[in-house]
Amino acid sequence: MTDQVRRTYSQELEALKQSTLRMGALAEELIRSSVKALIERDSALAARTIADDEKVDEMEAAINQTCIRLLALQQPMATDLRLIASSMKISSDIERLADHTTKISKKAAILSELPQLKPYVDLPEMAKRVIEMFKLSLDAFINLDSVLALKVIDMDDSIDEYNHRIFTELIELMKRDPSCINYVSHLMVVVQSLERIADHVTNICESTVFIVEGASPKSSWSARS
Amino acid sequence: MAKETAQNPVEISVRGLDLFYGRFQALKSVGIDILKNQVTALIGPSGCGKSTFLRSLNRMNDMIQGVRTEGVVEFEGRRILDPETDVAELRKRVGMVFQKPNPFPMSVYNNVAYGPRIHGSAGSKSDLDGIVEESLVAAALWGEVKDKLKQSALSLSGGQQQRLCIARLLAVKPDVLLMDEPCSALDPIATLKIEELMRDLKNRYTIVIVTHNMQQAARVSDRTAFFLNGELVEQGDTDEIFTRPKDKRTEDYITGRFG
Amino acid sequence: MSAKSSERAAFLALRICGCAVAAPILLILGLLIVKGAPALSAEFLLSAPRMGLKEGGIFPAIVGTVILVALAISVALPLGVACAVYLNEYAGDSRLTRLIRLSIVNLAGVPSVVFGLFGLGLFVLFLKFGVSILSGSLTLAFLILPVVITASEEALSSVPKSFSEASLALGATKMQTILRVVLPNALPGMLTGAILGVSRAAGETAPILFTVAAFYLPRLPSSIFDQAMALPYHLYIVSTQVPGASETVKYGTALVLVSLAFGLNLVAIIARNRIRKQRKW
Repeated sequence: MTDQVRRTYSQELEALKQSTLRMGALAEELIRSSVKALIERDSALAARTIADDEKVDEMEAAINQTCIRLLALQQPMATDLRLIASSMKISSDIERLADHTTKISKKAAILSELPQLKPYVDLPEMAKRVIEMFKLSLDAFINLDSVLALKVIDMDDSIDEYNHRIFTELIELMKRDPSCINYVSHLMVVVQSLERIADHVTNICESTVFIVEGASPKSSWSARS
Repeated sequence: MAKETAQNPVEISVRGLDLFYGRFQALKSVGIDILKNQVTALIGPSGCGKSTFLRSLNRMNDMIQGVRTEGVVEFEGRRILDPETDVAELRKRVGMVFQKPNPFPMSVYNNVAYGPRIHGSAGSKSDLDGIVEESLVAAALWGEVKDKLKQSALSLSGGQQQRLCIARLLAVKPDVLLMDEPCSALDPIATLKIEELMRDLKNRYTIVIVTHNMQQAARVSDRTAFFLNGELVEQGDTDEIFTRPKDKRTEDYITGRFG
Repeated sequence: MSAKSSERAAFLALRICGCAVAAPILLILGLLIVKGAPALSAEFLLSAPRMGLKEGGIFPAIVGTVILVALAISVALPLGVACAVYLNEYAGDSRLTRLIRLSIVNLAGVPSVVFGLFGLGLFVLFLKFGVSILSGSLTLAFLILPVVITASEEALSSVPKSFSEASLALGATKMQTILRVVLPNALPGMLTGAILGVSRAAGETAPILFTVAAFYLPRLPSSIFDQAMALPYHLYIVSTQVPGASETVKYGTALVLVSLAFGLNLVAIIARNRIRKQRKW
């Protein structure tokens, strides 16, 4: 967007997008390290991951502050207004998604104390998929690419499949060997958290579609058909 | 609001309106429906033709030499641009409030009574008193001036003067109120009072307002029309225009990226 | 010379020029008051001249001047205002209006003696009004017409356009707007112009010379077809045509004439200042 009139304002909007992106990058790192702490039974890494969640909270507060200030002082309209309102939503989604990494890390710490039941097969795949989705959702946001955002939303189906498969497997395990119920129930929380993270990623993509199209995906389809 | 829009009938219908100042074309094939009991805001940069357009709705452009119009402006089924239109009668129905408050240098009472007196619409002194009070009440000014009716209108504050001008207009019992940047000479509080007044008035009148203040357009209007270089670029429900305009030029203007 | 002292010298020179302008009027007034004031008495102001103008008062001349001026202004004001309204409100910028404006400017430049001859030709001889108050006041009316028109036009154009816009936007016709909004607000300015016209008319000699003025008419005129005495002409007569007329009579007459003109100017100035103060737009 060539811009001669509101240069400072435009720079502030760009800075807002960049800080949202940085917050996302940090959250992505948290997902990675929490899953790593689980798989490698590394309770120290789990503790660090839990501590780092605070940084994400701080970043969310800062982004909110920026958005409120821009709303109050610049009276944003149209795309700008949608960008700012959505940035608040997106940062909230990232913050809640990061909370799930704390949950995973806590479970990782507990599970590292228990004897390992079996090597992880589907779970690392599921986590990889979630991280990929999250990265793509941030790309879609920063480039205001609604096509990519919609693709990411579609990817959520595969996460549901993983979720379903792992759950069935874990239930089978518990049926076969009730002694592992303790271990498995902790693991189930981890799987559920990953699934929730994917839901927040979907929300982020919906926000991106709203910024670009002026309507959220579902209503825009009904309005257009 | 969107539902309301669909139901409100058309008060003024404009089709293919061209307007020339000498050789300069100030309006280019403008087409719009002004809906009854709605506030329609006209926005756009200076010189975009929005004021000119407003003034063609009650033929105030007639006062400027060398103005030529083509196209159709229909009000209550009559083509008001036709030469045989009774312009005074038209302006009685389609009144105007100006940028700078312009009360006559006479008393508050006489200002409001001016219209009824020239049109002979008040039968008796008490009729006239009634119209004056009613109009001042409708313009949210009665409480402030009821003890000052004999005082000069020029002794009122700017915001009061502007509301007096609105009262003076209401006394003529028009159907449409045209407002040409009615708040640009007022302070923010006086501005908000006028805006609140407009929200009350739209229940009984159709309002068209030209404003440079986009927040004002966003606050008071139901529908917004964006003009640029004499063209009507985009029109629609105000919340649509300000949250998701369709035209890139509208987007650039309302986000302040213009020039 | 330093910049400062040359500045001072220039300032002094300008001040001398300024004073030089005030000097003649002060000298004239001083002379008139010193020599004319002793003549002022009730008898002088209220009785007719006697003894072949050598004695007595100037009452008929005062009355004559007042009547002439009053009639002149009552003709010139409506005509001038109507013309100004036409030019300012109705006529656009056309060849005709440019011609009218040019005529007004030139009318103001015509020497007063030519007006006198014009009055003689048109009113006295052609229209057969004779040497009469009617002929004289009509001639004076034409003389002051440019003043009245110019002042009226100025007064009209000083009424803000926003007033007439407001009136028209309320559905008033152009005529209603002019009568109810424009004229009432222009009236004070027009009256100022009228008073200035009156003071001009009161002092003129040439236009009345051939059209109305009586050399000696020790009674008041009985109709507008009568002749009349007038102050300026009377002054001219006693000063040049009456050997042995006393100095005090001459100067007394001059003082009355000047006072009349000054008094009218003063009224105009006070009126204008009042209006300016009241005006808030």
